[in-house]
Amino acid sequence: MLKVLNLNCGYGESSVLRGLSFELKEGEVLSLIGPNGAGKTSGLLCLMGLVDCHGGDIFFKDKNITSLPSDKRILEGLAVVPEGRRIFPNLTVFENLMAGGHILTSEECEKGILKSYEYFPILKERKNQKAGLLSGGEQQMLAVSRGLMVNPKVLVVDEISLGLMPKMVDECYKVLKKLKDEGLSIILVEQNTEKALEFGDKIIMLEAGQIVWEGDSVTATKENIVQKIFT
Amino acid sequence: MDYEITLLTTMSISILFALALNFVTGLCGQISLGHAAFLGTGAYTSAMMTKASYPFLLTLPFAALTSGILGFFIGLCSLRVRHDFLAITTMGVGFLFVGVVRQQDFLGGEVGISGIPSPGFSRFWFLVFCLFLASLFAFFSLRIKKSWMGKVFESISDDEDVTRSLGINVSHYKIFAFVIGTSVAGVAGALYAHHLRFIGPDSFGFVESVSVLAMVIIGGVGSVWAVSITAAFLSVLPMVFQFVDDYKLLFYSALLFFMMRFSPEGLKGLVEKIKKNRKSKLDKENKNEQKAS
Repeated sequence: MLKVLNLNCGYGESSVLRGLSFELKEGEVLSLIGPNGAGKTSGLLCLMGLVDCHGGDIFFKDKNITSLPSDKRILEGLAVVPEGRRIFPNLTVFENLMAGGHILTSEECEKGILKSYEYFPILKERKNQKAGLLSGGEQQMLAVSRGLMVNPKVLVVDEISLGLMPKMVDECYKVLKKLKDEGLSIILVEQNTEKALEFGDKIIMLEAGQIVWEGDSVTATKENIVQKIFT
Repeated sequence: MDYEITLLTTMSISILFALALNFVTGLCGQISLGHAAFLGTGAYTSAMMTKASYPFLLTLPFAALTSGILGFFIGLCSLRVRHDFLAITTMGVGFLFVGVVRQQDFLGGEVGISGIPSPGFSRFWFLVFCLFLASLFAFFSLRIKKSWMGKVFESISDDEDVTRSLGINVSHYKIFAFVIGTSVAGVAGALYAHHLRFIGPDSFGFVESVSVLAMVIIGGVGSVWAVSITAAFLSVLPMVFQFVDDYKLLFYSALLFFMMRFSPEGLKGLVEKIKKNRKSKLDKENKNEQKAS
């Protein structure tokens, strides 16, 4: 589904991520973990075309999308749930979802919104409320739903648990699990390593912009790899 | 009566100009610190054409076109630079415009263009025409604001990167906002030139750009009604009270300062705050009455 080969990215002249490579199959979850400044978010943003790519290739369904602008990558089937929610606070919940489905026909958009309400019923209750007035958890649900509007094949999720109470985190992961079971591939950036290991099929650990360990979650847990690397 | 008509005409042109900037800065979130350059482009285009005996009404689309073309190129710049850098770029365009006009003899150089022919209407009908155009654009802005395009503008204004990551072609929308906002500024310039019958490079300098930006910010960025009312008020104030005209920049800066300090969302925010306070006060009183009974 998605193949990343030796990806280098950064801001202007400075490179923040070097040599990221992985392959993601349908219905698979890849967890990117690592300390602050490891290059996790930059890598995701580069996948979405929002950070300069300094080298390497990104293949999506065997098509090289490295030079595609971000709006074209959405059409290919990639979608992002950005760090810190970044919903549009002055638009209502409904309008935020509509923004997520901007490239769809009105019929498809309506379907997408109904599906979002199925995943997160609270959004239906709040549909006419300004998104900026939602609680942190509700905003995260909205951000996930907005990303799902285009019916992506790969969903890129950045720090879904950031600043949320455990109950809300569990709620969000429950929906991600459901999406995974439906065949959606997910790339997850998480600081909550416990969650990342529990949810990910593949784990990549980054430090100072480079891969320091990669493998499956079972091995990572068995070998206590997180503790070894972080200490 | 002539004096009142002159005041109202100045007011209508200022409203149109402020709404033009509001379209770019208020609705789409793209700062422009050189909007007077587009006013000037329209004014010079229209003045030159009427001096060459073209009818005034025919010059309006050309004024919009020349300003719109300039706006299109600035819109292209906005794709590469953002925020402070866009502010500096647009400010540079303002200075460049004045600098170029000063050096061109065919544009009247330092002296400007005087003896601009009458638009062909009486003063009263010219006022009606200016009011009509200002109302038309206010109506258009309101329609756009409520439309899907308005929502996209708002999302670009809130978070451009996220808007782009949703598959929305941000570049098209930004260029559209610039072209419309600058074309309308050009039309306002054409009206301005035929209202005063004289234009010079100093009429379109940095002070004018900052003044119109002050109108938008003091009114409340993005609000069509609040910006119109503020533009109307601030444009006639220096004419009614002469001392304000002498200290125009100082007065506008002080207003801006106090607005930023006490109501960063402008008059619109202030009115909303008062309404909210009044409502909560009424609710409290109702609750107390219910308790008492």
